[in-house]
Amino acid sequence: MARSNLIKYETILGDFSSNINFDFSDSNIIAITGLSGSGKSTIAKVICGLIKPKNGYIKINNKILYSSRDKINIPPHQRKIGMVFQESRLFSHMSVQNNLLYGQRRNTVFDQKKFDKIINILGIKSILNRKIFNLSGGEAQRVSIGRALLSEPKILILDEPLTGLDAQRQNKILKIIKDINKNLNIPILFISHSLEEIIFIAAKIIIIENGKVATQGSIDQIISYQKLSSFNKSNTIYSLIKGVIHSHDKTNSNTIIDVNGIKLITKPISDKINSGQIIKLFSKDISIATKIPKNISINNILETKITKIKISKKNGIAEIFLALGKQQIVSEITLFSLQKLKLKTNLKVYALIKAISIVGK
Amino acid sequence: MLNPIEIEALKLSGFIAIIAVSISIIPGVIIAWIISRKNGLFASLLNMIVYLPLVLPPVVIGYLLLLLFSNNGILGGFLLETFNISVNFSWKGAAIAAAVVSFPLLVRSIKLGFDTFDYKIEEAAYINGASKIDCFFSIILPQILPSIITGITLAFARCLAEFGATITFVSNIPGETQTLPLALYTATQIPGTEESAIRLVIISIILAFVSVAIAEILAKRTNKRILGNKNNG
Repeated sequence: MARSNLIKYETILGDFSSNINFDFSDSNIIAITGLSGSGKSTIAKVICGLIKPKNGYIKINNKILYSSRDKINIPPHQRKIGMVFQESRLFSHMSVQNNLLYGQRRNTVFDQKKFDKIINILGIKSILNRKIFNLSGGEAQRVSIGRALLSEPKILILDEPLTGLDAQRQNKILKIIKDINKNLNIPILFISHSLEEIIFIAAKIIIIENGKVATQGSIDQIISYQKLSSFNKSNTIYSLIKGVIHSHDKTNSNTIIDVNGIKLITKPISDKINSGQIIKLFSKDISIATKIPKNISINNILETKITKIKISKKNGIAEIFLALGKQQIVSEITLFSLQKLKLKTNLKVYALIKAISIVGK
Repeated sequence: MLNPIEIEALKLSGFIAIIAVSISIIPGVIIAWIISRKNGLFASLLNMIVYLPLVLPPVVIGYLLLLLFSNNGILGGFLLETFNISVNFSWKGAAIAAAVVSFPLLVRSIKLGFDTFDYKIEEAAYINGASKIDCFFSIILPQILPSIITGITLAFARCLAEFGATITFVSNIPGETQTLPLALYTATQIPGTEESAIRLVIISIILAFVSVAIAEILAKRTNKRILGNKNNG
């Protein structure tokens, strides 16, 4: 029987109202993202039972946790939700081991094999007897994940679990989260404002805007700029596009990526041919020319067409939307350049891409 | 060396302080929790009543206790009829007086613990399967233990110093209600007992100093055990 999960509620907190509706039935990693203050973390608190919605219906793993119509409101300690917060929220008067066993003792019988499996995935075997105040940020967050997993939750919710950690530790934990999902077959709701984290980890993305689900779908479905732009910080505009590795050019130490038939040259990538890649292109790294430039160091010069022009007089810049097969990229140029080149919608131009970064698969 | 009366007063002081603090701990924790966590008229009133002994003249407290616990008083009558207990002119009355006077210090310390406790930790306990009562005993109480220890020790020291309410309520009876301060008072009233008075003064100062020092050491130790260092507390 498929594990059905449905989150549908309306809640009002002060002057902020939230109306959320989404469902999922598989054991994949689902990312919830949006600007800060959009109501992402409220979703986690509502599912856990820490916030009681005004009305609605919460069902996790076929079990109704909240129903305003049927007057059901299971208290947090009986909901069997694994939750990892932004701060690890460990119990500082206990050892790591006792923190890990806190939820387990209250929810299920001890299973040594499962305990060993989880501490191995998390890599925390050597710190079991340590005091909480002697843990690094990354260790504390791994213990927190372990504590949640050992309580045998029906779902694991991670609310900005990587905040405050350095890039190396972030990557380590992201890999661990993927491992957990694969090995323990548990659905994971991953709440984050970071596109990189989400693209790396999630199979499905839900974007929250002003307390509502703005859009949802697979990475492929929502990767176009327009949908992601809503929570993109305005001073760092970028586009995300998807391509596959076409070939490796060992002579010049390059990898060639195919984006809807268009070839992009990047630094060498160690992945196999035909493996999918997600490419991040900063708008400031894309220049525009109306004729093909010669004698220039830029390798990626693509023939394209302007689909939209968005002018910001306040900042003196224009965002030029360019078609790249079925996908879209954005170039940021000055209003002066816009006038000089006489750019307009549907005009054929050349996009000069200075830098490409690979952010996920 | 101490004379038998002084030894008796010392023992009685310790005994009464231990009894007074012991009977105060559980109500102290409950009331501290209520005034820290609850809003509303009841919590505000409770807060004011608890702190009253801190600002009222001790003789007022002693007199009120006398009215309440005399054999014709509301509580005294009840205790006498139901349990055949009379607290008048006995160590039991002295323990009640010490408990009432030291109660605000106990509650203030414990309340500070509840006030500074990070309630996000409580949420984590609930989600991990702990009921509210389970969470209170397994998480909150151990985490505020340093505050409880500080409160107990301060209250204990205050009990040792109690004078006004005790002498008003249960008088000054050697071997029964004559604690250290009362013995000292007696010594100051009788000519030729100056040496005894000095000894009792020195003992009082040492006891007070040791109590406060123990409170500091215990609280720091427990804090360190729980939170790693005092900066985290």
